[in-house]
Amino acid sequence: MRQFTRKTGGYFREIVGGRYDTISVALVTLRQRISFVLVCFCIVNLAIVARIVYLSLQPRLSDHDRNIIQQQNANLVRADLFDRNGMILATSLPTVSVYANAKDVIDIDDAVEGLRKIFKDLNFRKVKQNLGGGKRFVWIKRHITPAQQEALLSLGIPGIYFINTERRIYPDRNLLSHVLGFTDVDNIGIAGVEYSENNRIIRNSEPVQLSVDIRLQHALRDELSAGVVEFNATGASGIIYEIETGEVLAMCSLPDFDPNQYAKTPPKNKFNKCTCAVMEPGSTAKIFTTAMALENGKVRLDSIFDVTVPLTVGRHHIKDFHPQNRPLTTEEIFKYSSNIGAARMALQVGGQIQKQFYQDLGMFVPVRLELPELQAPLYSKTWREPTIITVAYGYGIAVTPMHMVVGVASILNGGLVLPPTILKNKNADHKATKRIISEATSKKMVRLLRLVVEEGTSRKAEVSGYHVIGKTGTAEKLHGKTYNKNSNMCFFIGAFPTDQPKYLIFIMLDEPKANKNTFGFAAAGWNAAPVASRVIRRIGAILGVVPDKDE
Amino acid sequence: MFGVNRLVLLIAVVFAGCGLFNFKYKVADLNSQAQELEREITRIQCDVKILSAELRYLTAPKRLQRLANRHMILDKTEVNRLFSLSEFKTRLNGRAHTVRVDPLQNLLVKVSAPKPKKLSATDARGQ
Repeated sequence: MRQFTRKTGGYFREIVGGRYDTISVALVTLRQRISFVLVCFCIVNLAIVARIVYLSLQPRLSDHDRNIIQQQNANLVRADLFDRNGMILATSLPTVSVYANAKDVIDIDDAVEGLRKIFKDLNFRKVKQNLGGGKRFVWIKRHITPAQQEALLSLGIPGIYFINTERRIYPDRNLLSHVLGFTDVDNIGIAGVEYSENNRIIRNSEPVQLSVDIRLQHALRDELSAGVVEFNATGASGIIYEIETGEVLAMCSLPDFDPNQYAKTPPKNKFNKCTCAVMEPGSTAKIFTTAMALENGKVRLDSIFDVTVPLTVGRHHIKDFHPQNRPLTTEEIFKYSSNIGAARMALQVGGQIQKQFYQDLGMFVPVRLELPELQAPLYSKTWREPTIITVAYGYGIAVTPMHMVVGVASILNGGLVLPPTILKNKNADHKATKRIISEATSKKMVRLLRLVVEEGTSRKAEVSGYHVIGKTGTAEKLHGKTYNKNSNMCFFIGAFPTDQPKYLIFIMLDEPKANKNTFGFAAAGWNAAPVASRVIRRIGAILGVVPDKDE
Repeated sequence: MFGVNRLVLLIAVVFAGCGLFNFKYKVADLNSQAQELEREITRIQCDVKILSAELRYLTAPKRLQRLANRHMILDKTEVNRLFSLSEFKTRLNGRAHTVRVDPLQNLLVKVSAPKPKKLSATDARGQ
């Protein structure tokens, strides 16, 4: 007791008035202890209440659930590609991929043996090596089938996990391979529209609508393939183009590839001849030469040129493929595709105007199309007399088929240069500002092009009722430093209907061979022109062009 | 008085607590439903995508043409068989409908196609 009072004596003296009361001391001690317990109890309760309130205000999503939703949403991010009528050209489908966490794998040999049963084509040595490295994330296989997933789940290999992924699918396979391009394993566009519009496709959930029409594309590809077989060509390309809007309705390059299996495709098949291959346009360039000459005013339709004597450039003599052996008018030069006549017209106009004309047509720079695979033209920097002459009839300058299409469309649409596009309605608000020729010259050119189909070298392109207009061109291919007469590029570029040319067709056959139906000829009038005719026959109805029955 | 106040406060706290928990569970349930719906939407979107892709495979122009060639006698549309709607109506009104022909039967019966005309040597000249 003494010991107790000694410790707390001062305090008790205040309460009990200096008297050392044993009972009072015990009561005070008890009250102190109860207070202490109560305070502790309140603190604990307050903490519990605070936690309950905090939890009550939080959403009940677990981390696992949240991850699943985020993953599902994140995977379906690549927008679809549609054709101009809303048909799916490219879409992304949900798939499952397999990965391993090497730290969770108990027995690597067992795991690899299990995987071997399901994935026959896997590089097991590499998988084993990766698992042995102790990495936390090792890809096993991407885009497995549901059956494979079920088999793998039933094996229950520790450390093997699944992840939701998406895979890009191209339902039409080869049909639009060069236009659409493809994506890599991480779903990033690496070719075609998939590459050029990659940001838009990823950021925007709305589908990207292209200007192409798969019905026209199919007709074009079908007829081009038939043409390649019929004329034993090494390749072909074709474009269907809407003249007023600059929209590409179909674009085909053969050989092509299946974008679903682009890794197994040889590189030459991935080459888009429509926008990447530069080639001398041959006689189709006479469309530009004649339009330029008529627009310039130095040449009229009835102007006469002497084409009886071959033109000499250095040690080369320029001759006509269809010699008439008499002076020809401008109209006849165009109709008979006279090289000498075209060269004389260009010489009369002059090199400076010719070069400026080609520059205004955009023949010196790559076309502005929404594709990454674009090639710049090849041309001589020094524009002297030999260049003037050769360019006049389609040599000495190499451009892509798309350049030819844009150039001819500019001449047929009244003289306005409109940039081409592969996206629907992109040019709807775009007004062409650059005028290359007058409307009067444009009408003259339409008349001349009709004359070529009626009486000239493109007669086989005619489709009764549609009044096709157009021009053929045959250019010898350059092998090394010399031209090979037996190796031609054959073109047809034309449009229909004549009254108001609306749709432009370009056909190119690479190294077509003569056969008995062509009577030994391998010129464009015998191969490219009939292919164009067949294409127009098929697409006329699809495009809703009513044929003229009064013909 | 002090005791009554305490009692009222205690009752209010109890009611507030119950209300809070009730509110919390309702929100949590709704959240759960929303989450379920979200999953369902994603699943249906995936299904729609798969079905759309399947439909596109089935309606691919190449496949349709192959099937048409195998099962029907449809030929490529000839230009001379195309008319504008007004012209078609005029023709239809001017024709007497005496014989009714089943169009499906016409499509399914094989007919001999006309042989392609061979090119003559005169066509060859001037090309």
